[in-house]
Amino acid sequence: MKIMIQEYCGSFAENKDQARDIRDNHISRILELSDEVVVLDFSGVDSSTQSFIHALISSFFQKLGEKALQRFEFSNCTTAVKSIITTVINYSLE
Amino acid sequence: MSTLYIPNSIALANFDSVFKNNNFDFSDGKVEIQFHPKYVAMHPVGLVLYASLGDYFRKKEIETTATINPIKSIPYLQRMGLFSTLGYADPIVTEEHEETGRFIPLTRITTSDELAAFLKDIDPILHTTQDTSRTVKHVFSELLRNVLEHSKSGLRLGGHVCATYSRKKKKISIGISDAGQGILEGMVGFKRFATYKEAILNALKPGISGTTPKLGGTQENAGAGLFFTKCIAQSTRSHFLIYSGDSYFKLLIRPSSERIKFNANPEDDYATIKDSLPFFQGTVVGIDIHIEDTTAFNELMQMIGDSYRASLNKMKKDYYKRIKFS
Repeated sequence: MKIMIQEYCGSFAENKDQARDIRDNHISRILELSDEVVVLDFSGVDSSTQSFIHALISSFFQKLGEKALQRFEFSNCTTAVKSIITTVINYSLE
Repeated sequence: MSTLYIPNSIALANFDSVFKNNNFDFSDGKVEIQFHPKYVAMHPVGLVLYASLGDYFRKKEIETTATINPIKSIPYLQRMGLFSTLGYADPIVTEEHEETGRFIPLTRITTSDELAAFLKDIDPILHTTQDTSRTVKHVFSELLRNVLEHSKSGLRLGGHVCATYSRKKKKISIGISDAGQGILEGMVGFKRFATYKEAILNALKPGISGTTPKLGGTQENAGAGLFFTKCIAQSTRSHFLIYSGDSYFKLLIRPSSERIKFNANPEDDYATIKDSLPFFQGTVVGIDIHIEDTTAFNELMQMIGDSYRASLNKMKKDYYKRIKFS
């Protein structure tokens, strides 16, 4: 199941209200109701913030641990977005 | 009648000038605002400080009068929106120059949508490299979301932001403020903090969020926003200041020959920490970013993230504070 982040957040993904909305109304449901991989597609997103990515995914990695790595795929990320996702996942898994 | 004296020079390096002839005690309900009679050079941190004092006066229904002499600095202060934000008519008629690449005047942000719109609009104003733009927008977003989420300044007032760009010094200067509850009250998860100084120093530590006593924060907040912002200032060897209540923390500039180190404990930083200052109801943050020294954004995030992670691990394993000594 693919979620296009840019459709919600534009080219700078920083709005935590939208992160919360995507997390609670889309990602959570997919993870609960299916075995599908959640594909977060960052096409068109130039950058983001640590707070946004934290609000979006941190809770799943804290709850599921390393198993979450099998349930998420991050596609079309810029180097800026990749670095923030890596940062958030690294500290969420510890 | 109380007096609010506006000095001739306010920068992050000499921020203490805002306390000159001022005690910020406006309890008698009337304030006369006096500008320095010759000139006023003001960093955005000064502009947002006075903008939020203006909000405080409005909230408390404090009557103000201002003496504005015909000084050279009036066009700058007017273009940055200081007089209108304080509720005064602009003193002179000026031709408004294009903001692009030069400054962002005082802007009030009251909602998440306004913040998103502001961040969308500032790209052409910043007029800089993609990496610097990412860094600056990260700072704006983290600090203004803190205002919206934690300040309780009220939907009508929100917070203020403004910025200037000095081409000569290759520096972007930013100020963000609110007239809300201040950092001590904002640390609701940490009722044990007794002073503003203690609350500020803890708010700067990685993994400490105002919303919960749990290290590492909640699913909403990692307790990383201020730590990341302070590290961004450190990475470009710039000033960073946070002032709330009667205390401030001010990061000083390290020489370029020294290696940059991101400390988990702000007391280990090369910084000035003061308390017992005139009481400011709210929070003010000022930061400079030297754009020539900006590391590629992804590398910067990686470096700060690694430091955040290492610090958090160390703090989690430091059981000293959890052992019950009696």
